[in-house]
Amino acid sequence: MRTLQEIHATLQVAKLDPAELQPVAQCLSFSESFSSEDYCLLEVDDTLCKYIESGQSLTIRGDLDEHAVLCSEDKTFDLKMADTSNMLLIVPDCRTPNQLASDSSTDQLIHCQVKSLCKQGFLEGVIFFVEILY
Amino acid sequence: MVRIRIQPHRSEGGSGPEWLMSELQGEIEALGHSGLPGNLMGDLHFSTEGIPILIIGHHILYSKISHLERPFVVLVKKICTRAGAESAIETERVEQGVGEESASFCYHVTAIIKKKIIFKTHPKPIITNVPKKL
Repeated sequence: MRTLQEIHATLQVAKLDPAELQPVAQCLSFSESFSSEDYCLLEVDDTLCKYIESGQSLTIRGDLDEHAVLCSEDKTFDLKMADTSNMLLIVPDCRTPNQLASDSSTDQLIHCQVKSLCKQGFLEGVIFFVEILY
Repeated sequence: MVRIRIQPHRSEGGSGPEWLMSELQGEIEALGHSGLPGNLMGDLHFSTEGIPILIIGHHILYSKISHLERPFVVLVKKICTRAGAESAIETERVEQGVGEESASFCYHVTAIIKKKIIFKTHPKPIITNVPKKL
């Protein structure tokens, strides 16, 4: 695992002044199970987001020759698959500066694992866009 | 009729914990034949103004944190137990009187992503050996 000394050495080579950076560095590495995890991303609007956050379940329905739809208790949403040419890396433990500021830990180095990536042609990384049907 | 359930998270509200996502243009490749799993990706720093700075190999990338207007719900495919899936599918069979393929897997809501670190600028190379002028 990378040490703080190695992080600082890299900063020196990159000609970055530690005085211009926040004190906590995050070292990202790919998890051992990277690329074999079956992750899928579902893009949701505000309504669906609140619905899921309230702890309710959803169902994907459709006959084999039909377009799939997403059903909540009272609404049905259109489901689309989309690809992106950009790489989307999922990093669960990574923190934003605001989160780091409110963290009571005094660690200067956090190790984070990149769990998965989604990109074009990557079957597990399928993104669903959801629009209300009726 | 295919039915695939999306189960809410067991704890921490139906959407689970909030994770962070990183979006990059292009591809990340591992040097040699080691592949990506288990390997180091890079160091993530934040400037004092909160600008994310990622050092990957001999490149520096500057980026920004952007709030997703439409969050991503992270789903993981799981094999559903017969007990869990049974009730909905058995009722369906009785109503339709037709035996059909029943989904033996479901999706579990694992996390929600509301922010991403988006790297749009071209990576800047870190030059370490500058030959001295003769």
